[in-house]
Amino acid sequence: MGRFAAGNYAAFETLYGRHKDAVYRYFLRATDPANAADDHQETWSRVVAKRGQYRAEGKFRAYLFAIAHNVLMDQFRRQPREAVSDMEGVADGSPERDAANLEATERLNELIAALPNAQREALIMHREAGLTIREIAQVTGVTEEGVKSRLRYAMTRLRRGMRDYV
Amino acid sequence: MSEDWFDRTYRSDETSPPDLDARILKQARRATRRWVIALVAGAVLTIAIALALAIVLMNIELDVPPTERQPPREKEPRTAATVPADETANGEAGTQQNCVLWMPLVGPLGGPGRQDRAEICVGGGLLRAEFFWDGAPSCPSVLEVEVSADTRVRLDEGALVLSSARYRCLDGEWIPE
Repeated sequence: MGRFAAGNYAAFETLYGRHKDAVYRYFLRATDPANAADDHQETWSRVVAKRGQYRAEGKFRAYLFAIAHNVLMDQFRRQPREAVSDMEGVADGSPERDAANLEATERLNELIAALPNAQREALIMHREAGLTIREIAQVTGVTEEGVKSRLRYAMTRLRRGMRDYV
Repeated sequence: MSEDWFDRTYRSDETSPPDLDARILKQARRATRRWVIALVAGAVLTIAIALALAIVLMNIELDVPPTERQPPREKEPRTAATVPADETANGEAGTQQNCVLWMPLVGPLGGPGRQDRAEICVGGGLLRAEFFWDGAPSCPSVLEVEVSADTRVRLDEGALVLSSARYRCLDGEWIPE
């Protein structure tokens, strides 16, 4: 990032190639594909625009997901998303009914999409982006205990929803 | 948070669409180019300002009168001169009334550090010399000798030397040595 900030475009290509899919999936799990593409582009636009202000004080990935988090929050403010507080609206996981249409992976992705925003975000940052509990806490502005709690609730919900698949 | 079932089931193989990648990379390339152009322009501007400043400072230095830039050099006492070939020429020593050629010689006749003076007046083939000791006439009589062109006139240890002849002012009279 430092080299990109100094005007090295090739450094940006490297950064983008390394992190683009994690960012894209972060948005894909939280919103629809059209909004995911917009948010993905907006995130990288902000990275480019703020390159002069970047301070190498932590992992670039944490910095990147802090921006992604802000972009997502902006989008939720513009288009409030219905947080699904339970598993209503998601296929209830009957293998007989779902097996023909949904593989376990698709089922899991549906369940993740149905998680409350905060839990889903913590889960994706942890699992997809590889951020530590502390980094997620810094990015999302909650305590580490809060992050752990969100992850615990998310996994409990997912486990319950996947009980007939795993 | 070790959840084997999750790791086995969760697939994360979606990738960002290529056209989206192309848009973002193009945007970054443009921004980088603008950044580099701005950096180069900034460097050029800095150099230009520095040059302009240097030129202004040089001009200020050049405008300083020479007398302010260098301490005035003490004028060397003039202790020798040569009678020019053309006595009517307007020689370097200048002319004074009643003299075709007038040459003042200045030097330490009366001792080290003194600025005594011998005024030489050339006219009609004669050289007349009069001494001034620290500004006052010290040898009332005037030495008159015949000189020819290119006669070397100099002051030497209190004596007036005309070519090889030496004269000293003693008790108000010019005495040949």
